[in-house]
Amino acid sequence: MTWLAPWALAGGALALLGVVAAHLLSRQRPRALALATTRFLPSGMLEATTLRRVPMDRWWMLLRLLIIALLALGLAQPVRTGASVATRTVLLLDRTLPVDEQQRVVAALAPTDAVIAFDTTTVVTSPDRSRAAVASTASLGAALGRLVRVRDSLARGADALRIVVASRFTPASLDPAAGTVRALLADAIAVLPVTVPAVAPRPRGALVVHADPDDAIAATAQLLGDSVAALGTVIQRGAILTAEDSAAANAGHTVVWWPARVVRGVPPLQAMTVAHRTWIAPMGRDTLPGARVGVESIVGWWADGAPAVARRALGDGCVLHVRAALPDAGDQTLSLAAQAWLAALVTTCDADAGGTHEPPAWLRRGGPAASLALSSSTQTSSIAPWLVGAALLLAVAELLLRLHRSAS
Amino acid sequence: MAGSGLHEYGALLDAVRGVRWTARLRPRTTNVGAHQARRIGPNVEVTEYRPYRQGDDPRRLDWKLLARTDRAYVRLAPDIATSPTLLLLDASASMGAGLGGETKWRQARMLCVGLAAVARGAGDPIGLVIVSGAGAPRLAPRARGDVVREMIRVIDDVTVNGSPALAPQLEAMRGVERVLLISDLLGDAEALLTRGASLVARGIELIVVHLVARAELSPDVERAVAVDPEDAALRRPLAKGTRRAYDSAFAEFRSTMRNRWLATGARYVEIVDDQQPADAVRRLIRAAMGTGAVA
Repeated sequence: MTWLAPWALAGGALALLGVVAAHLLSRQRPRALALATTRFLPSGMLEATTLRRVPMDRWWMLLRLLIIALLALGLAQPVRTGASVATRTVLLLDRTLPVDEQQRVVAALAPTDAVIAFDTTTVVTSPDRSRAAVASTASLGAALGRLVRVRDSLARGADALRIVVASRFTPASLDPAAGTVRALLADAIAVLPVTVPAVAPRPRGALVVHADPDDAIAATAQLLGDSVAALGTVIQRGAILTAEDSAAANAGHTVVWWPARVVRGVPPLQAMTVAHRTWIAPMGRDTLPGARVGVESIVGWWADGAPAVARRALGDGCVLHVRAALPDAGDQTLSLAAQAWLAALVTTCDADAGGTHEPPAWLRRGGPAASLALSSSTQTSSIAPWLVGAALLLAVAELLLRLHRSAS
Repeated sequence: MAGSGLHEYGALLDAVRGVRWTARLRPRTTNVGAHQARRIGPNVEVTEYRPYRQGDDPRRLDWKLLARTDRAYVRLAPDIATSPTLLLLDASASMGAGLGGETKWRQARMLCVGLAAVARGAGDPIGLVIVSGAGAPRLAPRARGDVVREMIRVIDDVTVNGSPALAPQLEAMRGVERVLLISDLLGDAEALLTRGASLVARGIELIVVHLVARAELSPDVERAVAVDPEDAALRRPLAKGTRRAYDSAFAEFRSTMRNRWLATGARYVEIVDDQQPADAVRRLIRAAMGTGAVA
């Protein structure tokens, strides 16, 4: 037995205590008693507050306690659990985790009915299917979005849906949309943090920018200093990637391919977000084709959700393709926001340092935008209406009895 | 109805059989009864002789003495007479309602029937007036054999209610030698005292039975609002905190009643409702005859 609204039990307990206290602390009109020698009594107050050792009107008190208990139980919405209840388990599995960790998680949660494996893309599979990672970073927002879409089909025919998220919960995986998407789910979510052995950080070094001498991004990179990126990180501002760039990526370095296209005139303000860093500046959107599914993953977005930065794994490293065109004049790339954004961009492909991250609290509760949550839960208590109905029936009976008593 | 009444009073009637209730004041009646009459008359038991005077009844002459001594003497002896008794029973609401009311009214009925049986046993005419809110049924003093049975029937038909005045019933007392008032004295006490004193001054024997309920002496109530059954507007708190003042006021009232009734020359007896009715009747008769304690 579990409760869908356990707060009602606490409220009911408080109400029960209140009723008992009211019966102990009685302030009521004493019963009238005919006495022929009343005239010899001194006049005085007819009502008094007394604290009684035993509750007065015990049968009435028991009736009222029963009413409140039934009401509280009904509002708490008890549901059956255990073997007799069909509970379906859905595992949101971070497939950027090491394979042995994934297997350990699946084994620990067995039997699992469905697995939503996610990195920056998601796939709904069965627990015994392989879940090869496409990208090296995970997006919890993508996983939750997929769950929102398939939740009803997964829960069909089941009394309860058990959702478990197994991930490292790195800051990079907690994209801004995750909280909002979480709020669309009314179900409780259990989290299973997975710890990955720590990896020694790569040595830091100066950014190498292959660009014209007066390139705006090159100027920005120069402002960032020597230790902003891993040693060997390259920003290629040319129109195409060179073989040297591919070799660097294969060797484990990060290559940022940002063709130096320009926008004539004054372009509109655009917001571009990478790894929680947003840069707002007059920019143009590149017209390059979208990400190739299965090959590229999106790690940067425009304000309207359009892809801005694509990431492609290449050898031990990766290539980041930035699709933004800067104006031909202006110093907006020298702003602090632009510097921070570029610093976040060039570290996107860095391997996570490992260790443990704390799952966000809103994942368990309901997300930062919980007030927008849709009531999509199909789990209801079948006995709750009966309990509430019985409580109301007893309340009416109590009222009628009291009226009858006072009338007589 | 009468049968059930007799059944209820049967034990009491058996217990008071043989009890004598001699009148404290010599009655002025001429009917032959069990009490010494106020006038001297020709009785069988001679107490003195005196010379015949003109106008004496020739039947009183002692003819044998006249024959022996040729002197005309009249035989004199104290006469015996009946003592017509009237029971005045208070049937106001305070006698039978509320705390202790049931036992108080029952005790009043028992006393009434017991005294009537004793008086009837001595051949005295016995009458009854029941004063209630519904009226005042009256049985004139009679010496018939079934007067007690009739009295039981009348008493059992009465329901206590109202707040009637008792004092007016003490006015029409022609031919009555004894009046026995059974009441809790919570009604028109002052008027009763005035009328009672007037009765006593007229040479009528007045016995006041002040009936008190045990529940009134010590109301065992934790907390309530006491309401006067004769005056619903009179409401007072009854709780442990008010008991001392209540006890004091009630004791003072009873003491005042006793002293003032005794001052009128009446006999005053306080009877508690938990006393055995037969014992209460005997105690009451002793007090009425002046041979027992009156308080």
